[in-house]
Amino acid sequence: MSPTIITLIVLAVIGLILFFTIIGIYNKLVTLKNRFENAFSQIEVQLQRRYDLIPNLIETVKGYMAHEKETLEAVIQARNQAQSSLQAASQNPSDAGAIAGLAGAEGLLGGALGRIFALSENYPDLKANQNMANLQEELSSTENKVAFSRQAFNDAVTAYNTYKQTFPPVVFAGMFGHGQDGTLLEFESKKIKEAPKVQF
Amino acid sequence: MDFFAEQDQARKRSKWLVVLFCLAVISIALSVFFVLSYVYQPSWELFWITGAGTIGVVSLASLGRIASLASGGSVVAEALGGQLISPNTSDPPQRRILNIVEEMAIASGTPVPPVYLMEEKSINAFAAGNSVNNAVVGITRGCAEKLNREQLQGVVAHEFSHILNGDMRLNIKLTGMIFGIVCLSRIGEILMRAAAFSGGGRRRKKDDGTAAILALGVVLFVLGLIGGFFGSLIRAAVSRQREFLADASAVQFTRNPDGISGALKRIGGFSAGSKLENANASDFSHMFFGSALSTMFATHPPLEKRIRKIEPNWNASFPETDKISEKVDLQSEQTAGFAGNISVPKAETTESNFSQVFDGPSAKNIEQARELLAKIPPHLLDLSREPFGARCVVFALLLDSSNSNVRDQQIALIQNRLETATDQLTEKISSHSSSLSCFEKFVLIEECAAALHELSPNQMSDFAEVLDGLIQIDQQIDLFEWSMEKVIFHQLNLRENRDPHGSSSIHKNLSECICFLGALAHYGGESDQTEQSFAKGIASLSPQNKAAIPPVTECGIAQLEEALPRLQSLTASDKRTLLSACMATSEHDQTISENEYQILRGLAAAISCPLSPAFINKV
Repeated sequence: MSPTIITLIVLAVIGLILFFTIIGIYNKLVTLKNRFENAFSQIEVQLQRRYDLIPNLIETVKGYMAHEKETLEAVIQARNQAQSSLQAASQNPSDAGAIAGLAGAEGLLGGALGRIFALSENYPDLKANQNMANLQEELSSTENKVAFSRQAFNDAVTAYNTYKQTFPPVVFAGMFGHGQDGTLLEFESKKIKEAPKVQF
Repeated sequence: MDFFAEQDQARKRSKWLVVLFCLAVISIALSVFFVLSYVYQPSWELFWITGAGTIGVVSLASLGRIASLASGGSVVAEALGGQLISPNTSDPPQRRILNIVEEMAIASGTPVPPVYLMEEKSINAFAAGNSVNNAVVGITRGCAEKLNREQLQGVVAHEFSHILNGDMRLNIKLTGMIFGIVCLSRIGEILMRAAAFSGGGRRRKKDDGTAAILALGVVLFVLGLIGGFFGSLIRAAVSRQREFLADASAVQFTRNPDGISGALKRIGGFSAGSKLENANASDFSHMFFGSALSTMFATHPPLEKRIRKIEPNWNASFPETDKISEKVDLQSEQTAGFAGNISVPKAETTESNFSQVFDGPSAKNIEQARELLAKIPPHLLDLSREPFGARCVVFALLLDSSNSNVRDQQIALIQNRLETATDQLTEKISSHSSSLSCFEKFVLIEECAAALHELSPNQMSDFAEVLDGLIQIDQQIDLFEWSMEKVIFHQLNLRENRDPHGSSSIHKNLSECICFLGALAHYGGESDQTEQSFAKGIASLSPQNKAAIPPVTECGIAQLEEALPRLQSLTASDKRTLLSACMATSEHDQTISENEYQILRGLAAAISCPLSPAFINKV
C-alpha cells in the first residue's frame, strides 16, 4: 500500500470526524437557541396577565385616590410602555435590545405599582376593599410565576451561552450566525409589599 | 383497531427496514470498492478499507441522527421552527387546539403532549417523539385558522393514531437511515471539490491521489443520490400505508367521518394547500398530516383517494378555503369548561366492553374525558397548565392528609428547597384537591404533563428531588404514592429514555404477572371473592395455567416494584394481554376500587402503555 493512500485515508477519517462534529455543533446551537426562545412564551403569558390586571386595579383605586391622579397616570403609562416592550421582546427573544427594553419597562412599572401600594396604606377604606385585596393577591401570585418562568428562560439562555463559549463551538458559533450571546432577563426586584394572602 | 398489535407490527416493520438498509449499505460499499479497483490494484486491503469506511460513515451518521431525534419530539418540532404554545394560553384559536389535544389525551390515557405552532400559512400537522411519554404535536397556523372544531378534532385524532400506533419510532428510524445514505453524497461533493481544487493547483503533475479523490467523490456522490432515491421510495411506501390507517383511526376515535374528510377537503380547496416553507420539512415529510412537499416521492396518498376512502360518495368538489376564516367561540373555549355548544358526535348506545379500552379512544371516551375535566375545579386546571402551579398541584396531591406531623415535614421540605410561595400555593391547592376522587387526581396529573415540560433542567431536577423526598419522608410508600410516582416519572420521562417495548413474553415472566394479578385480587375488595377474581385474571392471562393465588405477603408494593423491570421488556401485544388479565381480575366484582385503579395506573405507566379511563365508567 502506497504512502499516498495511507495519507489519504488518514485525511479522510479526520475530515469525516470534523464534518460530523461541525454538523453536530450547528444543530446543537440551533436547538439551544430555539429552546430559550420557546421558554420566553411562558414569561409572555404571565406578564400579559399582569398587564391585563392593571386597568382593573386603576379602576378600583381611582374612586379612593382622587388626589393621586399623577401616580395613577404614571402607572398606566408604565403599563403601556411595558406592554409594547413585551411585544417587541416576544417577537425576538434573542435580541439583546428588546430584552433590555423589557427589563427597563418592567422596572418602571414595578416602581409605579409599588408607589400605589405604598399610598394605599393611607386609605383604610381602600385596604378594606375586597376587590383590591383580590387584585393585590393576584398580582403578587402572578409575580411569583413570572419569576419562575424567568428563571427557566435564564437557565435556557445560560445553557446556550455556555455552550457557545466552549471549545470547539466557540470557533464556529460566529460563522453559523450565532455570534450574539442571548441576554438574561433580570428585573430589579421590587416586591409588592404584603405577603400574598392566599384564597381562591 | 388494536394499537398494541400495531405497535408490534411497527417494530417488525422497522426490523425489516433495518435489514433492507444494511443490504443497501453493503451494496454501496461494494460499488465503491469496484470503482476504486479501476484506479488501484484490487486487493483485500482495499476491500476492507472501503467496506469499513462506507459502513462506518453511514452508520455513524444514521445513528447520530436517530439518537438526536429519539431524545424527544421537541427536537423535531424545534427543527421545524415550531413555537411552543403555552398550556395556559388565552389566545382563542390556540386555546381551542389545546382543549382538543387535552380531551384526546385524557380519553386515550396518555399524558397531555406539548403542542407546537408552526408559522406556516398551509394546513398541516405532525406528531413526533419516541413514545407516548415524550410525544409532541405540531400544528400550522393555517390549520388553526382555517379549520373548524370538528375538523381540527379529526386532524388531532389522526396524529394521536400515529402516537398510539408507534409510527413515530418508525419514522425516526427512516429519517435517520436516509440521512446516513444521503450524507455519503454530501461527502462525495466535498471530495470532488477538494480534488478540483488540488488538481487546479498542480495541473501538470499527474497525481494518483487527486484522481483517486475525484473518483471516490464522484462514486460517493452518485451512490448517495441513488441510495437516497430508493430510501425515499421505501419511506414513501411505508408512510402512505400509515396515513390510510391513521385516517381510519381518526374516524374511529371521533366517530365522525365529517371531521377528517372536511379537513382534507379544506386542504384541497386551499391555495397554500399543505405545503411547508421550512427548509427542514423534506427530512420530516413523512410525519405530516398532509403532504408537505410536491415531489414524486409522495409520502402521502393523493387527497382525493384519502377522502374517498372515508366518504365514498364524495362529489369531488373542494370548498374555497382561501375565503374561509374560522371564528372561535370564545366563551366555550377560553374557559376551562368543555361543555357548551360544542358539537358532540353522537355517543354510541352499546355498552362498552372493557377490551375496547385498547382500541383507541372513542367518541364516547372523549365525551367522558370532557366530563372528567369538567368535574375538576377550573382554577386547579388553570394552575396545572403553567409550570409554577403544575409543580404545586403534583406536590399537593402527595401531601399526607391523615398525619399532620408528616404533612408539616413535607411542607418544610418544599419551603426549604424551592422558590418562595411554592409551599403556600401547595397548601392552598391541597385544601381543594383533597376532595377529588382518585380518578380525577390522575386526570389532573396528566394535565400537568405539558406544563412540566416547560421546566428548565435545573428546575426539573429540583422538582424530581423534592418529589422523591415527599414520597419517602414517612419511610413508607403507600399504594397511591407508588402509582403516582410511576405515572409522574414515566410520563415525564425522568427515569430513562429507551425503547418503550421489548421482545420478552408473558410465558417467561409468569411469576411477575401473577404478582400483579394477586395484588389486584387481594387489594381489590370483597375478601370472599379474592380467589375467584384471581382465577378470572389467570384464565385470561394464560388459559392452561392453573396457578394458585399467592399469599398477600408476596404481592406487596416491594414485590410489585421488583416485578416491573421484567414486565417492561414484554412485547406490546403481551402487555395488552397482561393489562386485559389485570382488568378481568379487577372487574370481577363489577367495580373498580381506588386500590385497583392505582395498581392498574401505576403498572400501565411503568410499562409505557396508555390506559384509557374508559373502563371506570362502570364504577
